[in-house]
Amino acid sequence: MVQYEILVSTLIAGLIIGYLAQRARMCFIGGTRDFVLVKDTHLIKAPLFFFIGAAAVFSVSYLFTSVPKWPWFVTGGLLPIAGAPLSTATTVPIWVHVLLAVIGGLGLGLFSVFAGGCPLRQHVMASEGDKSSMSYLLGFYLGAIVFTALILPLIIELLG
Amino acid sequence: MKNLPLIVFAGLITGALAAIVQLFFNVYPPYAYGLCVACHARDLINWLVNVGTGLNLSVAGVSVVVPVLTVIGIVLGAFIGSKQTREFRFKTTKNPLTMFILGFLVMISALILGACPLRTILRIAYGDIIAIIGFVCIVVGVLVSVQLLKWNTKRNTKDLEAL
Repeated sequence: MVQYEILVSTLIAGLIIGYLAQRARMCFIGGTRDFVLVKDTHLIKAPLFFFIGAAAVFSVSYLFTSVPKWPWFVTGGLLPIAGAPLSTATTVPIWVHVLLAVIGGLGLGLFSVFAGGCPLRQHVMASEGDKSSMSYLLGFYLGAIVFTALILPLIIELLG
Repeated sequence: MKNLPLIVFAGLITGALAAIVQLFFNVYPPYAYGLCVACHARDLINWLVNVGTGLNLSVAGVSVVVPVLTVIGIVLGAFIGSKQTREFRFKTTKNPLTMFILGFLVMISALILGACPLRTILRIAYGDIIAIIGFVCIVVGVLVSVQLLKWNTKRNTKDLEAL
């Protein structure tokens, strides 16, 4: 069975998000950078209201229907939500999850400032014709393949 | 709505959509996966590689049969926006090779964390404590990066003064 609802809903959500991100110059790294660099609070409103928007939909839906395993810290404790490496391996001690989050988070913040924007912003700039961002995206997508094929098995081998 | 700044409106809608596609359009498992620019990009490229080569690169549960198309939507949406405002123009703003390496390193980092900055916040909204640690580390990474850029600028300025 082809899951049309997944194809269509993610495509349309992406269209709206891409359009708004372009018009508002939304950047989730730029907000933090501008705030620490020049105390400018304009861009940091995007992540703040992103949180409010998502939390509002989750909590209102929770009152009327069900939101599976929400809030997570009650149902899943300190474990990360699946999607991170080793997040489905229940035997892994919690410090391993913390270590992965620390390494990933630091790298994400560090390299994204050098690149001049978060991955969302880079997709938007590439769509505006920026060849540097297109080059970034080539590395970005190649990174996904290399991570899955080589680095993920290594992480599982070393820490799993 | 009329007086709401565009950046606030964009943030709110993006956050709401990330939750809505999970709750009403079954974009899960995993949870808090309605929007992630890194993981959704990974799912799409791995899915395509798998179809093209017969390899079996792992993707998130939701993307096993058909891939999430979020990143295609983002590129199309942003392209429409940039055409509408006449901002579309081919240009090179930074060294392409440096950007290629940075893109590579950002994706690796994001997949180690299991989230791009957007999904990090989405996971926090879902109640993930590890994501809070991830978010704090992103902010620390930004601080370190900003300091390095400042030092670099200072050093360059001194070099110029010496001339």
